[in-house]
Amino acid sequence: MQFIHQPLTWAFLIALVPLLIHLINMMRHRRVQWAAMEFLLASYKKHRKWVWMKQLLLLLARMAAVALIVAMLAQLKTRDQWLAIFGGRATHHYVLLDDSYSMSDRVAGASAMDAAKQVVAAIVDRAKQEDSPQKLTLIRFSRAKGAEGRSRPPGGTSTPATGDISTESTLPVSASADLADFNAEPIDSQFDLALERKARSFEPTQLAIGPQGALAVLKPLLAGAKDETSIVYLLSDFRRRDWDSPAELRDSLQELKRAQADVHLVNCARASDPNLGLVAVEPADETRAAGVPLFVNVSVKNHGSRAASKVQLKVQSTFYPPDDLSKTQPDKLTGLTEELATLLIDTIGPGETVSRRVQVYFPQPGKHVIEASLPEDSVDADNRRWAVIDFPDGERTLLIDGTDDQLHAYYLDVAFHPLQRSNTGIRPETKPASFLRDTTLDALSAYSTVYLLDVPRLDPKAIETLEAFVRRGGGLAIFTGPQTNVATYNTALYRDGQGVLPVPLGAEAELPPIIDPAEPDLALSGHPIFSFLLAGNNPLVRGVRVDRFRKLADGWKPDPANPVEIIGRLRDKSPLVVEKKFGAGTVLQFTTSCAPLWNDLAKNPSFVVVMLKMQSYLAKANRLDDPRLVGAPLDLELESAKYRSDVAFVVPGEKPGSRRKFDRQALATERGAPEAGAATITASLIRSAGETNGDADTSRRGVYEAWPISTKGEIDLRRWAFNVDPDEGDLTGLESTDLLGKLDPVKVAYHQADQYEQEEISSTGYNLSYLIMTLLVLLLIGEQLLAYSASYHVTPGAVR
Amino acid sequence: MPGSKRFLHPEAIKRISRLEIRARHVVEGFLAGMHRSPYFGQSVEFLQHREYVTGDDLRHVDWKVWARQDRLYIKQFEEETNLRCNMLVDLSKSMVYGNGPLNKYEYACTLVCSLAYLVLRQQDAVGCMAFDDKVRATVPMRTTNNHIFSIVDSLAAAEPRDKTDMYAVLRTVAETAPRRGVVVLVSDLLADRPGLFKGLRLIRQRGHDVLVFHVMDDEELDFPFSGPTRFEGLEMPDHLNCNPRALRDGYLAALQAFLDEVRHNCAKAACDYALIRTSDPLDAALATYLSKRHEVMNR
Repeated sequence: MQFIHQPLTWAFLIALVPLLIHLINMMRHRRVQWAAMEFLLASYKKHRKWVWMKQLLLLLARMAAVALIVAMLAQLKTRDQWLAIFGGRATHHYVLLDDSYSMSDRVAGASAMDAAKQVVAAIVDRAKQEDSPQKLTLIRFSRAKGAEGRSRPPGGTSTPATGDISTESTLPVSASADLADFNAEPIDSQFDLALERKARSFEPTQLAIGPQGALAVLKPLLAGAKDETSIVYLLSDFRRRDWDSPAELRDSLQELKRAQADVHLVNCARASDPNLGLVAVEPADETRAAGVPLFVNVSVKNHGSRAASKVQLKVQSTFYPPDDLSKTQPDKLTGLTEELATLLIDTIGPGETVSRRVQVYFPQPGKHVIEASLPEDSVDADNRRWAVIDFPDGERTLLIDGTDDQLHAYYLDVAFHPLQRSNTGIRPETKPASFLRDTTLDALSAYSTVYLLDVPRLDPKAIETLEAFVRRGGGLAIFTGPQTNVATYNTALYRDGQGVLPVPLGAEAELPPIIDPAEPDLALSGHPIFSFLLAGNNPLVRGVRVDRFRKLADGWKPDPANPVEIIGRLRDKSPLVVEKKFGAGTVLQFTTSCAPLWNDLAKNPSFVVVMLKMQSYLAKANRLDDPRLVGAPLDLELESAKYRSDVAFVVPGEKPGSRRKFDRQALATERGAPEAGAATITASLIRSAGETNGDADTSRRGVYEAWPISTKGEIDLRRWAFNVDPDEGDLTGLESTDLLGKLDPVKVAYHQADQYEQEEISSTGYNLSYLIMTLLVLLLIGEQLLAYSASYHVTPGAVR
Repeated sequence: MPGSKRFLHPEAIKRISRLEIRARHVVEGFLAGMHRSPYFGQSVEFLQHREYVTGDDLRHVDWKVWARQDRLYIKQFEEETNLRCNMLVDLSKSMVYGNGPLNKYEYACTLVCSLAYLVLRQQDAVGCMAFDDKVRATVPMRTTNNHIFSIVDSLAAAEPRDKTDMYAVLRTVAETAPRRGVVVLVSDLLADRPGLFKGLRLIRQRGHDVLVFHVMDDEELDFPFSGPTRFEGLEMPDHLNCNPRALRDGYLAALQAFLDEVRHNCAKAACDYALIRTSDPLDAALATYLSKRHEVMNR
């Protein structure tokens, strides 16, 4: 038995007031000198017992009435009277605390996380006032991150299969308990201190995490908790992003309800200002090399419902001179930061994303950093974003020319070096076809792309190496010509669509004569390679003439199992350029020659641009920037023969610009050798469970580094940008009715954090106010009847 | 209320401080309200002629008969003072109770004086005795108009105290009043009741006519009290803390039993009984007296 307004229980002392009044009245009675005492005494003698009894009952009734009024105002409630009678059943409060970065949303100086902490304190306060034993389990979303994907390990701790909670895909109880900040801690007088101490570390992370992980952690705990009353509190900001289609969440909540748990959703968010977020810092898909300028696209999204104006966007680059690596300790390394531009965006409409382009230039190779930042707003986490761009010394390109005069390679080499002093970043190397036969995959992997220029045939080993190269992300361009052996190509390279050749070749053909001079020989699609030619009806392309080409093999039809795309055709609709994705790489097949044997493309000024674009396009897979989201694992796989096992990881520190170093030992990779067959070792920043991690995780945005050292003693610095999930910055919330509607038929209680305390109390027990009010009315009626019976009512005219 | 009755109401009488004026005021108001006074002049009414004998007062000779018959006859009238009225006023402490315009003792005094004034106006003799457990003041029988002042002075000088011993007082009255007359008892009768009834019977045995004016205060009859009250006895040392409303019914029942007993025993002893509230006009008491006097004169 307890009261919602606990301080009002002091008012029960008011119940003594009637007694006090009675005593005072006995002291302060009126004196009357009376003549007819004889009759008065006779009456008194006759009615004394009844009068006393009525007065006593009246006094008790009045005291009880006051007590009932106080009980009604203090809102007496009881969870389960029967349980209270038989010693009390424990109540277990499970608090799931959202600490994703949207919880850092500040309104009037207080964040949603602050509101959540207050709710936790209120839950504890309330629980302390309960009669029955109380326990608290608190799980932060960040701690439970990824738990929904984990399955039970074979032979792991068994989970009691109780209730209706499915244990098929749940964590072991012990693992769930380890993830909890508080695990079934009894709420006693000392608990406040423990909570306060722990709550200091409860801050919004920079992660974008939903409640599924926490719910997955909760399930085994609920299943293991028998003979308890379970109350689950989900403290979150209920953004539309997470809860708009809550099918899985609904199922999870339904399971909680089936396990007899009371579920309370407590919304800690308040209406906040519009939030601007950086959603992308991406380098343009062009050739990257030291000394070659590169465009970087920066995108800003307005997550609010009002337009934002005069938005200042700062972009800066950090250049790491290669010489500093050997001289500087990993945690002391600081690059040269240069402010590239401060861009002013006039207006960003609600929900709109605006992109701006900035040119960057690094004179020396390395993994350099571009950082963009926005002015401070309600959510800070998405106001900064990084990109790590690998600028190699140049893109090595292999040209295999099958002709004796190397004419095709010549034209292509010229295209990659159009001027003596210009630097395209492409480093072409011309080799004979036998090179492919003799080389290894590793050696070939040093090249970004391979060009087969009218190569008559290829050795099977060469084909195998070449296909492995493409599968790993290499680019391949195949130009046919007079020497191309069609049968060998179709048999060895096409292999009924399984090979690297996109389409089977057929016989040579001549393009029919021109009927309409205005009609160009080339009909190009909007492919990235040709898009610039199409823009503005470029006249250069109209001047290209194609005389001969190879038709596709007779009877070939597109196979949905091996999709190809024809990105350019000739005037007679015959395919000119065909693209095929092969593994991670891309293959482009031209049905005409590279050199001006069957066409005059190589003599057209547009040839240089098309080839540069093609090179950029084909080498794209090798330029993966590997952008990561905070919270993603950071594992570095190394060849054990080439690298030492000690690897230093450098992570962003708590203060801006600070760095922290963690030394790790690389262990043998479990899955064994990769494709190349070499043994590998893996170094992980985040240690396995049971080891102390400290701050060694990727939960903080910024640039992370790994410093593996080769067996030769050279540092092979790796660098990654870990950014927040931009979608988490969308603070659009769901209305309570919408949310409850989407969760239907799961019945949950919904609260606003600032109104939580009273609502929560009224919903966690049986409020007896109405019963008390009824009793009070009955008691007051009885009191009046008793008072009337005891002649305390004035009869008009009969008394004074 | 007729204009004359206005002067008989206790609230009006209260404003008159002097008792004799108060009495005259009452009686004149009372008489002015009557259309004809059948009693006024009764004492000079002609009865018969008697032959003159030596020694008779010459003023009573009927000279008209002498002129007609030449014989001396004397006119005989009814006796001038043929009613002796003895007023008994209770002077016990219980008589001081009263929350109206007049308390019981003041009311009783006003009533006695008014009656005395009326008696004297009719040439009757009136005396007065104030008593508690014994006779405290006595005013002898007189018929003179100034006699009213003696009564007034006597009552004004008396002060209520002590308890009442009715039997002793009534026995004294019976022993000290040799001639028959009318005894008017004005009291609240809060005394030993067997003694009271025995005393009344004794007076009646001596041939007196008895009028009992039972004066009670409104509050004693209605018991309108509320709230915690401490009742302290005026004539007894007892006190009682109580909620009066809880005891009211029992009190009124006991009071009614007392009134019934008094009325019954008065009737049994052939005494006239009138219960008078201190809020009642005084004409009722005067009318009761005159009615009684008429009976006596016609006997």
